[in-house]
Order: sequence, then structure tokens, then C-alpha cells
Amino acid sequence: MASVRRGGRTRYRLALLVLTALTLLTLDFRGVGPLQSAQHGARDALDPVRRGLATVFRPVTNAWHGIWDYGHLRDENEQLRAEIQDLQGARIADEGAAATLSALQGELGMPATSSYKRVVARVASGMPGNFARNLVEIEQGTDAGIAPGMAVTAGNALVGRIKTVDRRRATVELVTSPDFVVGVYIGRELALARGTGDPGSIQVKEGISASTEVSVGQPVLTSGQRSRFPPDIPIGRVAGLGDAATGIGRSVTIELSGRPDELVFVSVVLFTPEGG
Amino acid sequence: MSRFLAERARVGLVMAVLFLLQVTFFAEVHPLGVAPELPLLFAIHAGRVGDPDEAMTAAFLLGLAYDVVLDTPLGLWALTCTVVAFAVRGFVETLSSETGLLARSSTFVVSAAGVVGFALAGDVVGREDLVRGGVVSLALRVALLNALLSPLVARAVRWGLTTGLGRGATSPVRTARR
Repeated sequence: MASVRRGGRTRYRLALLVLTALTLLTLDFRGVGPLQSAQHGARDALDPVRRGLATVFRPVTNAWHGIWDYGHLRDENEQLRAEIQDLQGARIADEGAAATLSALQGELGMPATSSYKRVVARVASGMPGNFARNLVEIEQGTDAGIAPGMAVTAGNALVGRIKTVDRRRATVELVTSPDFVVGVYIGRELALARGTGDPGSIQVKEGISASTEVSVGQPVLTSGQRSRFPPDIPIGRVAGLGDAATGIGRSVTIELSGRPDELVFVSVVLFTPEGG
Repeated sequence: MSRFLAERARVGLVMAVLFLLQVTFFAEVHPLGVAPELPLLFAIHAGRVGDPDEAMTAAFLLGLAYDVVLDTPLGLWALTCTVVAFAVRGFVETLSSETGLLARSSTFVVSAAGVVGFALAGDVVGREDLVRGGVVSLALRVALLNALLSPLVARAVRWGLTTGLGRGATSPVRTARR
């Protein structure tokens, strides 16, 4: 008899806990303000502990990365040295073009991308858990003026956007996320590029009209339209053309200039469409 | 009163250590390309050795703490860990030991089921991204890591729970040993 009563009490407790979890899920789904505030507050309170422990564990995690990532890092360093040499030559030609662009923008009253304030942030780590494949955490937050939706760049190229932000941490949704969308200019045509899950490229799936001049190697920048990002942030270059899934026009594959899978430091562009 | 607090302090300490390891150390270190799911592992061992009611409550609270720092829906890991702690009880009824190959095998199976269940539940509440990209492969690797870490976590949970909460005659493990 006692065991029957006990079994009933256990099921009652299970039902209560399951209902509580379902209630939290529902409230979270609806974006209830106090719940989100409580979540932000809890993460802010936990932040000093996480930073402290990350410092304590750093020798071990560095050793781990040194053991398992050594070969990859060595190859990457060689590739980067070659790229730097190419870039040094191109820089001279670019300086002249940049001066001309700046003058033109001044004449037309357009803000230059370089005039937007930026906050440099260190990438803290990957996100805890196994279900945040296209997210990283950075060690800056609302205290530095960061807000959800802001563009995140690395080496001046777009690598993501701010998804959630606490006082001193923020999560960045990488440009490779299948849920990431950004307005771009392909030639003179406005289009939406989306992440594909591939760490090296994004795609314009909605057809680019056949009459639009598009060539492999053509630079791609943000359009400033149909998205929250300011215009003229470099994204990458056209890497391939194909048939659109809709059967109308062409699809475009864009090879990313930034490396969203290998971030150490990023810049957050302090621009929102409302505030500028 | 002091014994009551001491008991809860023990299980709280175990939960805090596992939680902090999950969100700091295992956010960087990914054996087999994945991180173990220590809250899930806690739920499995708590369901094995602790008082059923207290084990479910502890699993719920640890899952909820985990939910707070993640991008996934709040309450999803709390739900998963609670159900796992309850479900493990059914397995434990037929076991006479919480260690050994059989226990590790069941830890593997339940861990994999827990991860897949979490992803499917997330899909139900609108997070279809959780089931994209090889969730079965992910679940198997996480389950393998959890099984490897199982002996350590089992000891910690047994220290925190059976000498802390749930000391009565309700544990089937202790019942079998009598």
C-alpha cells in the first residue's frame, strides 16, 4: 500500500515538473518580458564565474587545441602568409580607389561605412552544448552599446549578426547559419543571400535575372536594404553561378571573405536602422 | 536543520560542479567533435540511485540552469532531464548494480535517447534547426562520451544524493542489496 501511494506521489511530482517545463517553454516562445529579463539577469550573474573558470582552464584547453589542431594551424599559417603578400600589392591600388570613394560619398552626403562606430570583442568560446553549431559568444554586451541585429565583422568582412545580448556577453549568429539572411547587391540587382550551413559560402537562391552582369570573382557587399545591416560591408566574392531553384533566373554562390569558423576577435558595427 | 542543509548542500555542490564544467571546460574541449551532456548524465545517475521525487526535482533544476545559458528554448533541457530521471527508474528496477558494463550500456542508450528526444521536442516547439545536420550521429557520440564519463559522475551523484537526499529504503539498488 505504501509503495502504491509512493508511486502515485512520484507520478504527481513528474506531472508537476513536466507542466512547469511546458509552461516555461510556452512563455519563452511568446517572448514574455519578465522571463527574458530573469534569464539575462541570471546569465549576467553567472558571467564572472564563467570568465574566471575559463581563465583557470585555459592552459588545459590551449594544450588540447595545440594537440588536435596543430597540423591544421600550420597549413593555415602558410596559406595566410601567401595571401598577405598578395594583399600588400593590392593595397596600393585600393588606397587610391578608397580616397575617390570617400570623396564621392562626401559629395553625395552618404555616410561612409568606416564612419560607423565599432566595438572590438574577443570571441569567448564556442557555445556550451551541442546544438549551437552556428553561434559563438563574444565578451562584450549592452555595456558597450551592442544591441540585437547589429552586424559583426572580422577583417572588415561580414561574419554574422548579434542574436542575443546581455550586459557583458552576446551571442553571434554566424553568416553560415541556414537562418541567416542579408540583402546584397549582385551587379546592380538587389537580392537576398542566405546561409547554407557550409562554413565557406552563402547563396542567393532567388533568381538573379539572366540580363544582370555577374561574373565569378565579382565582389559582393551588403546592400543596406531588405536587412538591418548598413550598406557596403564586404561579404565575399561570387564563386559560382547556377540555375535557380525556382527555375527563373540564376542562383549565385558567394565565397565568404571572413572565416566564421575561425574567429578570435570580431568588430560589432554599432548601427541600427532606427538609430543609425 | 543543519543536517537538512548539509544534505542539500552536497547535492547542490555536485550539480554546480557538473553545470560549470559543462558551460566552461566542455564549451572548449570537444572530444569526438562533441561535448558530453553532463546534466543528462546527472539525470541518469540521479534516477538510478536517489529518491525518485528528489532525483527528478534535482534533474529538473540542473536542466533549467543549463537552459538559461543556452540559445535553445527555456525549459527544454529541464523537461528532458526530468523525463530521463523518471524513465531510468524503470530500468533500474531490473538491475542490481549501478556500475559495470550493463550500467554503462544503459547509460549509452538513455543518453542517446535523451539527446534525440531533446532535438525532437525542440522541433515540436518550432526549433527545427535542432534536428538538422545529423542529430543521430551527434547523439551517438554524445552517448559514447557520457558512457565514458559515467563512472566518475556516478560516484559524484551517489555521494551527493544517497548520502544526502533520498537516504530511505526507496532506492531499488539498496533494496536489492539487503
